[in-house]
Amino acid sequence: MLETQQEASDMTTTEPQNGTPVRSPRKGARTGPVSELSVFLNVKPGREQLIRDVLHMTPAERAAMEKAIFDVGSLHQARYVLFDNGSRLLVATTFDGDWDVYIDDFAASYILDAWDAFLIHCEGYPDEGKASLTVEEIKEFLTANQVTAADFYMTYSGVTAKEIQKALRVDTAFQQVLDTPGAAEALQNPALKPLLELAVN
Amino acid sequence: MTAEPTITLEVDDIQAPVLHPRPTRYAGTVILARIDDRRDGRELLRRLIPFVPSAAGQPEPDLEAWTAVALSFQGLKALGVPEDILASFPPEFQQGMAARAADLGDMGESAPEHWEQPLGGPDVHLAIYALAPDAARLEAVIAGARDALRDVPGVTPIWQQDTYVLPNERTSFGFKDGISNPAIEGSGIPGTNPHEAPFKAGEFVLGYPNENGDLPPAPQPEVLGRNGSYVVFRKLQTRVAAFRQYVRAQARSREEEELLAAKFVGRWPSGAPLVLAPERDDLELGADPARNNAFRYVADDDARGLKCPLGAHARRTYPRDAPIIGVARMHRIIRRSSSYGPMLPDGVLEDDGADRGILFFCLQASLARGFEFVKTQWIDEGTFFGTPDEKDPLVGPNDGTNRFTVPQQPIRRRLTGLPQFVVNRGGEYLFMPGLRSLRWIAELDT
Repeated sequence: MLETQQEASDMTTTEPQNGTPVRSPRKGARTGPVSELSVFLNVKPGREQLIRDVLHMTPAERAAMEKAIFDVGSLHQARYVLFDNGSRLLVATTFDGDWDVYIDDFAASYILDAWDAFLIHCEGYPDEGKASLTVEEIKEFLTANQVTAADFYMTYSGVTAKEIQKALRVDTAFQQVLDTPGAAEALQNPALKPLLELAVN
Repeated sequence: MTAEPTITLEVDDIQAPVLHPRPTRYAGTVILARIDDRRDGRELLRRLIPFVPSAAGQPEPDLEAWTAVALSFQGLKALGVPEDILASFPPEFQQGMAARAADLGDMGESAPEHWEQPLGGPDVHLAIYALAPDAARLEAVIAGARDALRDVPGVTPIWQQDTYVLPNERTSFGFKDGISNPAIEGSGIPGTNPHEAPFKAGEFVLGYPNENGDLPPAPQPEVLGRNGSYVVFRKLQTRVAAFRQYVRAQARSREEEELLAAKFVGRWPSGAPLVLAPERDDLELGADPARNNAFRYVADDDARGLKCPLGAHARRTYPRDAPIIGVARMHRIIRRSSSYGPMLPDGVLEDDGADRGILFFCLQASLARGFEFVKTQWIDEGTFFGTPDEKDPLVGPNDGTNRFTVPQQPIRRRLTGLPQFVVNRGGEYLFMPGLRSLRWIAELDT
């Protein structure tokens, strides 16, 4: 079972009400299809290096994880920051979709398996890991330590990670076309005018 | 989050439609009633219970008939369920469907202010849904309930809608439905997709662990929630003429018209899935229950949607093994819908003004994770498969500006200017209690 993380409560947007903590907002900020989630955690004393060890993957492990992330195609980025002399951990991520409606999916996915390995070294999360928690308790743990961004900006506004992946594939293909003999002539076709305009550089 | 030992489902306490699929041919009715007097309401429940079959016994969908009883939050209140117990129901159920309209995308013509009265109002307390393989057997199963409603004074029927299979055994849009049914662990009833692992009972029935190993949130005391399931009821009017006109206008031939319509749905009129029959309808496949749902998307070589578009209605409302945000199995719902209204004759493109469509019924242990997720994430938005701008082309809240991408060789087809083909005429969130729970409510003494 989960213990309350008193130290973290002053970092959240929750306010004490009649002595009982109020639930955090269910989700972070959202711009277009993209949401952000920032979770501030306190590291259990002496566990900083254990977290660094978990986050330090072998090249094979990293490749496997990157492939899994790419295949799902909804994560834009994730950052894990140990700060305050390694006493605190920031988990900051941006992804497509909402956080709160996907909590059960998250709990059933490989992401929680990956996070569980370092969350056990954070205050308020049991050493036994997720096996000892319900999904609702995991959700409460994360949202209780989550702080909604005051501002959230994406350069590629309104675009999902999948659309960015697709755009990159299209550009790779386009560059291949430009490197093909006869490309200039082929692009003269009126149907390809928008592409011809992109072909000069 | 821990592995659970195999559980035994109390099938003799679960109402029949939770586990038993709808017959292929059917006649049915939905009756909504208002409870003016709590004691009369409980008396009605006592008289209804003998007519409400459990899910025990081997299901034979084409032989059996059932009558099911469900209650809205307002109905539980009208029956005198105490406040502290009412408060233990999940918030979305307490609020009811009309209050959730903005979040659910029930806007414009589908907004509650346009709903058919009394749907969405405070008087919808009790629902009776009866379904049988034909009209004679329907009369046999509904007679007892009708007598009870007539004899008990403080309960008033306020709405009724008959439902029946069309002569061609298809929905008003012209497509066979009710094909995809999940297997539930412990029920002994096989699912229709042999490639789909059985689901933990707690995805659909309260009182059992769900796919995450947790018990779904349930009202207290335990007897009230156990073996119950949440029901979503919506009267969905279909704009069949508008759909036919739209598809006709996009197609250069009758064959292309049929193909485009199938691309909207994800299946052919016979029910044959596009993944298994990509080029033309296959009547034998559509009619074969062992094969007509035996497919996946990626595993059956359709990751790119060249056979079944990523945005097709059936694919997006249960993406199976397709790569999406999240885990599709977390959002499986049981569908028990039936058709209402006359068929628009084949070939007619002008609207005849008739009210026709689907009485949408689905069952789940969590409205938030079931219907509300499917509606908001899979139907009203395309972000989950990376295409935020595309809503469900068939049932989504399109407004004439939306598009639908149909992958094909050599160049994808992009349909634009999609109008709305389905309008919600109203609905409610209901709780379908187990039989012990129905008796517990009937015996309340408040």
